[in-house]
Amino acid sequence: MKRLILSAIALSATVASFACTNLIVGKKASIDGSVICTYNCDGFGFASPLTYSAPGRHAEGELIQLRGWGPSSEKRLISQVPYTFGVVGLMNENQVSIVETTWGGRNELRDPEGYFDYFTLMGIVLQRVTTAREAISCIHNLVQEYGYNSTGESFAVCDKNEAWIMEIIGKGKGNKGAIWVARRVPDDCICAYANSSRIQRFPQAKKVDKKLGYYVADEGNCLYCADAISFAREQGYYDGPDADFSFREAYGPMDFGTIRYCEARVWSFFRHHYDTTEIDKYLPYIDGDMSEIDHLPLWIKPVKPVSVRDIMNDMRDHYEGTALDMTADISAGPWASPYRNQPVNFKSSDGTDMYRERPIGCQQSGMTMVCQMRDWLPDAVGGVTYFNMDDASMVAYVPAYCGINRVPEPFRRENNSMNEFSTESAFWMNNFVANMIYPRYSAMI
Amino acid sequence: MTPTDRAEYLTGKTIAYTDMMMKRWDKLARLLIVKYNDQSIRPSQNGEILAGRPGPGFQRPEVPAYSPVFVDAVKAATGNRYVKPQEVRIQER
Repeated sequence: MKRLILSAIALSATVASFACTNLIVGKKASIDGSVICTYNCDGFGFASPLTYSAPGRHAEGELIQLRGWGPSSEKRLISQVPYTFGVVGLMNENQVSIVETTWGGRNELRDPEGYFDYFTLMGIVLQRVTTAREAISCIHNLVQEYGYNSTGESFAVCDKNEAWIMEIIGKGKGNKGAIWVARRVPDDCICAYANSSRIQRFPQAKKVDKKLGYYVADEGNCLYCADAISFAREQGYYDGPDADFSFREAYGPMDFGTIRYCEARVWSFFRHHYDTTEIDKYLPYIDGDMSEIDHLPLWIKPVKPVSVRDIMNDMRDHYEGTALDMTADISAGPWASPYRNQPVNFKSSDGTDMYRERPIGCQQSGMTMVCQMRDWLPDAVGGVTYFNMDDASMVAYVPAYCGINRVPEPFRRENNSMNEFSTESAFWMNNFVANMIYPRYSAMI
Repeated sequence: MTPTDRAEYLTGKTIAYTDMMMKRWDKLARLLIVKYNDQSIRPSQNGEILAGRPGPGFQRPEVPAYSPVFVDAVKAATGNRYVKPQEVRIQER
């Protein structure tokens, strides 16, 4: 029996936080023809406000300075485009939305000299595109030209017609560009990812599209960079036939943590929308036993169409009703709480390595959003981000249309200090209510 | 409707929903502080705490037990420590 042990592969330390979950719904999988993508942006000690960048025209030759994360030894200047679209949160005025989770992957592939961290990349791309496919192309072109300095990432890149899952990782210090694959989620399917790479094998093409500079396969439903496979060979990550190549195995291989703390969230989401007997067949895999089944499907067709309300509830999941139910055993405490205030990994007094579950809904979310894109409405109102700041389980989602021209005060950065409570801050009012409930969950919820 | 009017209209709606949410959460927070004070549960209806002073109509706060799973685990871990005796032994005189 092949069981996974804690892997010795040098995976990125950022995975230790197991932050963030994204869910995706194709337009024929939703109850009303929407495309939906969601984002729990998780991390202790930070609040994520709703941002707004206004549309604008720009002079030829204009440069902009990137203000990304961490110090940089030089100004990161990039060329501006003639026109930038308005962006509300992570959706632009054309109803294009990009959300993300970090999976880390191979440490050595991060390029600290690259200009773009993933969040800055998302924001700049959204200012420049009208469709999801344009966004994927824009991501490719920007990292080719300016470099990419984050670790392995999954993006949901969506518009009012299409939903894509894209996975990307750098090429090491001093190397511009990135290794990436993007697959279109079938319109009648749902997909998800949560801090682990999920794309394994993918349809391949014979030649690079000369105009785009990357491969276009599966009648345009699979796009990938020219050196996705050859780079893995050069690095010694893979030496088999091209046809058997797996992006995940090469760049973000699994261990018990990535299965139990990450894939399990996807499993629980799928379980809400599929035959539970069939989905429970994956439980040995979720337990770290890959001898029979070694992966979850990348996407599934739900048994019935999914509504925005369903997806909001999925964002609040703590495995209730499943074998991993966090309310069900003694570790939930006297009030059957699914919340844990200890690390995911810890030791018992006799030195035994222990773990606890990591659910979709969690106390450390800095914000939560459900992005809905509707092709039968004008863009300004068709694209709406249901948003709030804190644990999805404890907030009321507020609609922020992609056509608004300013952010409500309670969601603004200047009103959401991390160091000072305020009744004018959405983050703090939500936390005020939530933190009263956490310790006495079953009595209060 | 001009694009500017449309943007103002949609922004107004988002601001209105946000204000509604903040007011509702302020009211909820204040209710929770009172309702669950001292680890008990004060009866309430439609967001209003019911009669809270001893006297006619007094709605006594509840103090519910812990979950059965937890209680069983405490019993397993502590033996007879918290098991209530069936009868009180008295000193024979």
